[in-house]
Amino acid sequence: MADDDTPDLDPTDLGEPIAELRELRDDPPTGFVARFLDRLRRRDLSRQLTTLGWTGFGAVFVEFLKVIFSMFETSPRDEGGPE
Amino acid sequence: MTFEPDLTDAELLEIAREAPEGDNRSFAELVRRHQQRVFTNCRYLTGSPTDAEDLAQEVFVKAFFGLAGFEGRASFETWITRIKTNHCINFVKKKRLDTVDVEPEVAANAARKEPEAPRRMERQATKDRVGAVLLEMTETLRIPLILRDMDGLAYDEIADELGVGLSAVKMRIKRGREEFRRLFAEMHADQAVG
Repeated sequence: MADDDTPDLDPTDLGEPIAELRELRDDPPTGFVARFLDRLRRRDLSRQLTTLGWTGFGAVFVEFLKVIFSMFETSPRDEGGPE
Repeated sequence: MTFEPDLTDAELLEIAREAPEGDNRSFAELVRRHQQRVFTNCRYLTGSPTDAEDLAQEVFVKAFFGLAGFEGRASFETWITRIKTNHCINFVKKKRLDTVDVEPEVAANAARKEPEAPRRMERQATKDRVGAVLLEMTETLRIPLILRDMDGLAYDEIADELGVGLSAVKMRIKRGREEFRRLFAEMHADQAVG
């Protein structure tokens, strides 16, 4: 930021009432933490289901590939081997 | 299981990381400690009191799922401030809150209360006034002011967050402070008269 020629503001020269901003704290609605924990559980469950879904999809896909490859595999009978 | 009040945030984080899956008690303690700050910041950064709780909870959820990536070089408070700032600024960008929900009752409450514990009431009135003034300011001036004077971010960090130049950030903070002082004084005068 070498092109900046704006003089620095003095961060300590806040004065009233700006200094009040640092101390400003509003109470969240009652039950905030409990609702957070509920949300966390729901999110966790949804992540697990998504992972499970992808794992299931992956397993089905692998089986599908196996079927495809098995169709191209040549059996000994096709190669004219002894019956 | 309860946590000793003298456990530091870093110690609680360590416990949270090592806790078995589903055991969120130590992280819940961190949420308890920082909920006021994060909630307040979300409220005034976005200027949307109705969305503040949802935003604050989402900030903590993001932090929880990001625990594995947190290297502990910064404090938990710095880390959560970073997550909160990104989350709230993205929210503001999406919603483009041109008009701000001003809570008229916030300022009115300050004047309405009975003078039963004058010092505490005065303190509460000042706090209410600060909140009301913030919600009255435009987003352009309010956000840099909060990031600087509430969160204590450096000017260059604010410039990065907002995607504007350093000069613009300094100017907005300067104008924001002036605007804040002006509105605060006006509100104070109105209440004194009323």
